[in-house]
Amino acid sequence: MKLIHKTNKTYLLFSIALFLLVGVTIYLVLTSIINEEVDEKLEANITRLVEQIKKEHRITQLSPIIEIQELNHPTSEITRKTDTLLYDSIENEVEFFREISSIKYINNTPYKIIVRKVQLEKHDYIISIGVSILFVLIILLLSMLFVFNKIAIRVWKPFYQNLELFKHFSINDSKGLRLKDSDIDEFEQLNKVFINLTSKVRSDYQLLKEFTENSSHESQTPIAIIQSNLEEIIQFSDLNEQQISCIKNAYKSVQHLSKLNQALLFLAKIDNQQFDNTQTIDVSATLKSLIEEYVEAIELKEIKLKEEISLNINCTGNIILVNTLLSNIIGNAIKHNVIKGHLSIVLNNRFIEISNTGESYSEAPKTLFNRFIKGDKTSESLGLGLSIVKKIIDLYNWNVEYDISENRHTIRVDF
Amino acid sequence: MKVLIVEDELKLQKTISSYLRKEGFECDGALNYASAKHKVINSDYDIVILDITLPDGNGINLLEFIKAENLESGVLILSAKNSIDDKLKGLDLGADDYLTKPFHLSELNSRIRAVIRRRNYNGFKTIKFNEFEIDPEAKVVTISGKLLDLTKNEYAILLYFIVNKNRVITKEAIASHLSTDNISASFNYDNVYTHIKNIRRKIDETGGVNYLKSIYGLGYKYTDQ
Repeated sequence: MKLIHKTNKTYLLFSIALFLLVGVTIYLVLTSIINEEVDEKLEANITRLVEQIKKEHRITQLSPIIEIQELNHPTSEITRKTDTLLYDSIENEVEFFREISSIKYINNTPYKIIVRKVQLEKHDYIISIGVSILFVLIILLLSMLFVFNKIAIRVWKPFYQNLELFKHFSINDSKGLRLKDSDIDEFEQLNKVFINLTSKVRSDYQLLKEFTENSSHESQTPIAIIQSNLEEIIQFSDLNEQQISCIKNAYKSVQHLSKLNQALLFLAKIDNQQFDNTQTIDVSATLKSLIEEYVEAIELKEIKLKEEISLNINCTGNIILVNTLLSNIIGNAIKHNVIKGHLSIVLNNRFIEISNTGESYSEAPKTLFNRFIKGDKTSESLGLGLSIVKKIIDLYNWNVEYDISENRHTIRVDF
Repeated sequence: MKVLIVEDELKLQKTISSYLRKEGFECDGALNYASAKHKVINSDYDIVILDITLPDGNGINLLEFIKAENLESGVLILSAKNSIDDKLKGLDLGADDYLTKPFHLSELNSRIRAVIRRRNYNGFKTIKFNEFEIDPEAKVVTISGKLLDLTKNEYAILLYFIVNKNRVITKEAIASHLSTDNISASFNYDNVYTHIKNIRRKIDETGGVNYLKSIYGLGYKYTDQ
């Protein structure tokens, strides 16, 4: 729930409660004031009637407003105030009256004087108070919502703009976070905290990347020394079988290490956005020349090649990365193919699809994109080729599908 | 042939120079930029093997110096940084080749020979080994005048063997020679085996002597000894 909705809701509930309280209070106060005022009038009327009887010996009857009755038995003077419902024959309906009934001795004769006044009924009060309050409440809430939203949009604008910037924050971004200033202290503080936090994260990440790259670079020279010395040792002609086996193991491992190092460096470089010069690339031509390079390997395995390559298909990217991507997927399709297998390469303006015969793979094909995952556990490959492919595809926001049905592997890249 | 090896790691410098001496080169070493600069001024080198990262400067600067002074030396950059930018920059500035660490000594040798061939190119310069003759410009091999019909990869492998004759070459070195500069698409070792089988068959068919020996468990050696 948005903050503005939350405050609006709270405010609405609070206002309703407040207005109910106000309504009840107004009702109570109003009725008590009116009753008091009416009672005063009625008492004054009684006094006037008593004076009239005293002076003029005239008894006025005006039912149901004035009723006077001479009592023939003595009673004590008493005044009673009540609310009552009476049938008014003139208006032909039951009305609500305020009534004071008083027994007065006038010239030593007891009279019962009842005076009444038509009153608004209770529910009339409630309705009129309720309607007025509701009216005020609605006007108030609507104007409040309007003003609040206006203010909110203006006040929160820099916040939302900054939020958008945060969403697009990339740890690789060389420029860092540039936030909109706000004249509100809380937002300004938040911005400061975020700027500090992100610049810290960025600099730490930068250091880590540099460390990774440096350590890989630094290990290249020792690997070169090991490799070249092993290559010198194998030149000796008097090596025995056991020595050869030891050297062979060491040599294979150093080869593996060297390739691993290079592949990881390459991945790190993609991460470090070192392949940032992009250009329009003729995919058709690139693909054709790559296939040309692989022709011998294809022929060696007696693989049947089927090409459906549309001409003049372009994409935008770094030439080295696009080359690596294509070369990796084609290389894989040959390397993991079977003797006398099939290989089909399709390129059109939406995708490139490479499909080849190969070994079946029991797990989800997607897992092949993970680092160090190999379809064939015993193979000498690193298990990084498809990770590099995936990294390049992610970099350019392309889409990749890998499908294996029985012994047919199909990889499709939409660009 | 005189070679200057500019490499700040002494162990690597010594390995390279001892190898190149066996290959018939006269070797000099420099551990830093200052001494390398001093040596190129005072002595003529056919080729300078240049590490980019030096303790007191950048190898690229030495390359610029060599080019600015119009020195005759060829330059082969040997760098731990497999960065395309460095490579393009180096080649742009006039370096003859660029090799990334780690490397196979036989690959270094083959690159040095290629640089020297290119620089000393005058008319037809062919590589000869007994009855074998290779024309690197036309990429053609003849055995006693008879054409040996090879594919692109087979030619590359045979040339590699002849340049690195009398030396045990691992199949990894051959594979990496075939997939130069391609980090990911490493060549399948089975292919190396098949290529060599085909080369041997074709040499037999053309009537040449098979100098290509298998060395048990290690690789191959091209030798007439």
